[in-house]
Amino acid sequence: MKHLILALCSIIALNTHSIAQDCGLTLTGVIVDEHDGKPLAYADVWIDQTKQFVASNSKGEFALSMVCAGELTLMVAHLGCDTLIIKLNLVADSHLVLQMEHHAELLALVKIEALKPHQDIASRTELEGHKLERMQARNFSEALEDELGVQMSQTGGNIAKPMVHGLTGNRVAIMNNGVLLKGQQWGTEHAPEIDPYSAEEIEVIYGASSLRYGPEALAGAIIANNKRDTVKELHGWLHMHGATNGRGGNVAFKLRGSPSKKIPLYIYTQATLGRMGHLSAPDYVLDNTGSSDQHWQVGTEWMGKKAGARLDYRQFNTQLGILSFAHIGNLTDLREVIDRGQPLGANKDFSYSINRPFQQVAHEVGAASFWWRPKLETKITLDLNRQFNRRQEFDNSTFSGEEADLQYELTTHQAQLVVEHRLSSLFKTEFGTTAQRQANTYEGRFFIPNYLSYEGGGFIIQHLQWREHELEAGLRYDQRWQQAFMYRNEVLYSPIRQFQGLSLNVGYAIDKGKYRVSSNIARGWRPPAINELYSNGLHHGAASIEIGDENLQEERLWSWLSQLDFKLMEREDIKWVFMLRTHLSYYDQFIYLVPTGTPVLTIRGAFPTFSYRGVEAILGGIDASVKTVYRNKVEASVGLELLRAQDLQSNSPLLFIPPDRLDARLRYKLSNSDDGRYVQIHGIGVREQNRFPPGVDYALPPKAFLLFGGEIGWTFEIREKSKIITAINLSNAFNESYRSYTNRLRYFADEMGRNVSLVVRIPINQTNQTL
Amino acid sequence: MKTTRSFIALTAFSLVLLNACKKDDDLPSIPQPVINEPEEITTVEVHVENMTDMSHVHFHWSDPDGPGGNDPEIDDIVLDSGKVYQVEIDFLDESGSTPENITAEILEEDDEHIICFEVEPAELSNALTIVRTDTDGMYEVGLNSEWTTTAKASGTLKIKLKHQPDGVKDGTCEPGDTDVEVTFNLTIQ
Repeated sequence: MKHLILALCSIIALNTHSIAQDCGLTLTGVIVDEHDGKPLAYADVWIDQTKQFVASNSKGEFALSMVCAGELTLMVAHLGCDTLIIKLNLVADSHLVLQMEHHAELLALVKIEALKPHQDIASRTELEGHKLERMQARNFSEALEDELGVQMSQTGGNIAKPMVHGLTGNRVAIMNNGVLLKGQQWGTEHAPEIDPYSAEEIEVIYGASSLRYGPEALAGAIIANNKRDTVKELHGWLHMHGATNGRGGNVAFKLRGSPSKKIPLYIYTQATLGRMGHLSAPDYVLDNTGSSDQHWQVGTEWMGKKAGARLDYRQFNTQLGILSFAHIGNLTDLREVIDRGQPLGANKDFSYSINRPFQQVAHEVGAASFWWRPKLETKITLDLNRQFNRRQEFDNSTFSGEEADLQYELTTHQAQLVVEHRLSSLFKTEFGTTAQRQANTYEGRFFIPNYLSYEGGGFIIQHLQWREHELEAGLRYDQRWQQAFMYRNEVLYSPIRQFQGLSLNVGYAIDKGKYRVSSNIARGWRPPAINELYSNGLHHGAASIEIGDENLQEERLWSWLSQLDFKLMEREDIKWVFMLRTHLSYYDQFIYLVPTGTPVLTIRGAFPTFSYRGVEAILGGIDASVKTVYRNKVEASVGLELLRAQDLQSNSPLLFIPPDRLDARLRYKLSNSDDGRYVQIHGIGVREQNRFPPGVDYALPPKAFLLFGGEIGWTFEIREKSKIITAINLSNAFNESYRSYTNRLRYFADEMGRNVSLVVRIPINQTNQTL
Repeated sequence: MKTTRSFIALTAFSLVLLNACKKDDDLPSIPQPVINEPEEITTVEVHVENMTDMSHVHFHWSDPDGPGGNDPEIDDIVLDSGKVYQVEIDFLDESGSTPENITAEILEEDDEHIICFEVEPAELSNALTIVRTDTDGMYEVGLNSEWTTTAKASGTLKIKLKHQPDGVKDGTCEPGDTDVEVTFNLTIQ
């Protein structure tokens, strides 16, 4: 999380006037806030080599005298931000303007190199949470979909989980404002409980290299945060989004400010209200795919000089209709639906109603975070949180009463203590310990049992940055104790399992300016999920019997991930950037559903049976992109995602691996500056998945498809540096009928048809909007 | 001093927040007893009354522990040739400690349900005619039916209960989803 705050803290400009040599130089400067240009008072500034120290005054100014000429490392620490490191080659008295913003400019006489101290070498993308594409997202997963290597695992048009390199659920960790999200992650139809509008900054970490997020981040981690600035005045935004498909939208706002000019105390609140009606495929209304959302949060934060604290409370409430055509009683029904092609009942009219079957989810988080910086180089953080997740599923069967047919209540308490210590400007060590208690109870139909689990772990990460080289090594150990409670033949059965494992990561990166190469090798593991151990029964939507294996061992993998960023051409008028990411994971034990081949006879007929097994498997792929900017007017990019996955035991491809995907976009700026006025066209092509195990799935993978869309962005200046941002977006422009392989309800209906959406974002007392 | 006081206040506030409002009242160590599970059909009973001598037999298909677990118990249906039978079908929930008859609930929603019979092979379907004798006012239901046997044959009988809510019932077995689909061996001797 810290590196996101850090993203704000970078340096911009300087100018100089020369007089002397040797050790009699003066280095002066001013530190200003990027949001309003106001000075940042009482920042600590010191020179790493000589330990000369000074604090900025109330105007943000500082002065260091008797500074030696030559290479030196200037360190700046302010508030909750991480230490900023600036490398200088001082030849004369200099004056620096340090602005908390993202780019560095080079001026005469002083060679300046701004280093954003890297958190780690993980391959990552930082997304601007409020990029327009994301502002139109109807859920959190959709907000991430445009990123290379991230896709959606869907259940109909309105329920989606983010997938990183083809994997989701218990293999992707999601951190939301410092809280490791603990919902009912194991279910493919369980979307993450995050309000997309609260996620102003999003980051995707690929691969198993990050050891900070516990053992369940094998495919990657997604980090979503609120923006936390130090502007005292009440400020924020109001956001409106409307869409033609589903005839609904969202209204969201955020307010943040300080009640007092004297103390560094901030309070904030954010809320989102959303309502969508039934979505439409090109030829019919997707009956009962409406949704209703109410999310809100309040928080307060003390951003002291040496210590700080943050308290957050948030609630996520959603009601999601499940496509009514997808309700089937048995395999015969499913086969009939597939043979028919067109769903029965495809003549339903549009409506806003959410009828059975639907799911209702409430997620509540109470979190407290404390940090203390006893010395400039050391930071200690303590995070505590409680999460409560209630998931209710309302079926549409003959015997459903008023109550939910199925309810899980999951309560999680987490604690984490992390110490970061910078031994020098180059060497950083970080270690921490985590603890977790989790209790789940169910009511209604049995699918997973009640359970109680305790988890504890510790990690240490060493990071070395030397000139253009970075080296990192990390080690983590976790243990989970888990007891499940269920009835078997009406006798209470309460098995205890213990899991443990070591995770490690070694990474190296070299940054030559023109190109950067990074590579990580990691060993990771995760405990088997509760459904993989104990589920036993009919998975209704999937028309299959799923049987857990209570003797499953930990899932373990070796992962190797590399990334190359290459500036092919960097001229004033034209720029070309190339990115290539390769990933390869070898699992000694990959837990997934393997068909048993013997159908189970039930009162609803015979169902195919799948059981959870750990098999030897290999997953690999590439993400590649090329971007070009011509005269700062035209931007074009092409991205490609390829993924291959093989079960080495049966030597057949894994099921439900996303097919190859290519996307391209072309943007023309309507003015010379980055003021958010542009027109854009984009296209996505997805191949037919031809690698799948034969005879396991009920239907063949859907055909390849090609979708086109466009967007027009416009801004209106309401006062200096404060703009209303608007955009009109068109997706599936030609109203193509298609089905997506990664949508679990693809057997039943087509995907959404054409959609036009309008976004309006009004700043409230806020300047310097990022577009 | 002020800082310290604010810090204490924040800590106190955090403790309040951590014990926030929504709670799970159940203890994980006490799973919901089986009797609180939602109703489900575990058993189909076929009551057959011979119209000639008024003799009565019944056959059942039952799987009280639900999908998975123990295999279902299935009776073989044996009928005499050249007879007319009045047949009544009952659906039971035997998953709890006291069996419950669910047939009345189906009868209550008879405009949303239909029972379908599929006989195979052709030799048996030629020898056995099944006619539903009850109605929801518009379409047949099938809880009651008349079976006529004309020759010796053997094969299978599939009995389906289809749930056809929201006005999709049209007298055929096509719409809706399947609540029950059981197959009996059937012999006419």
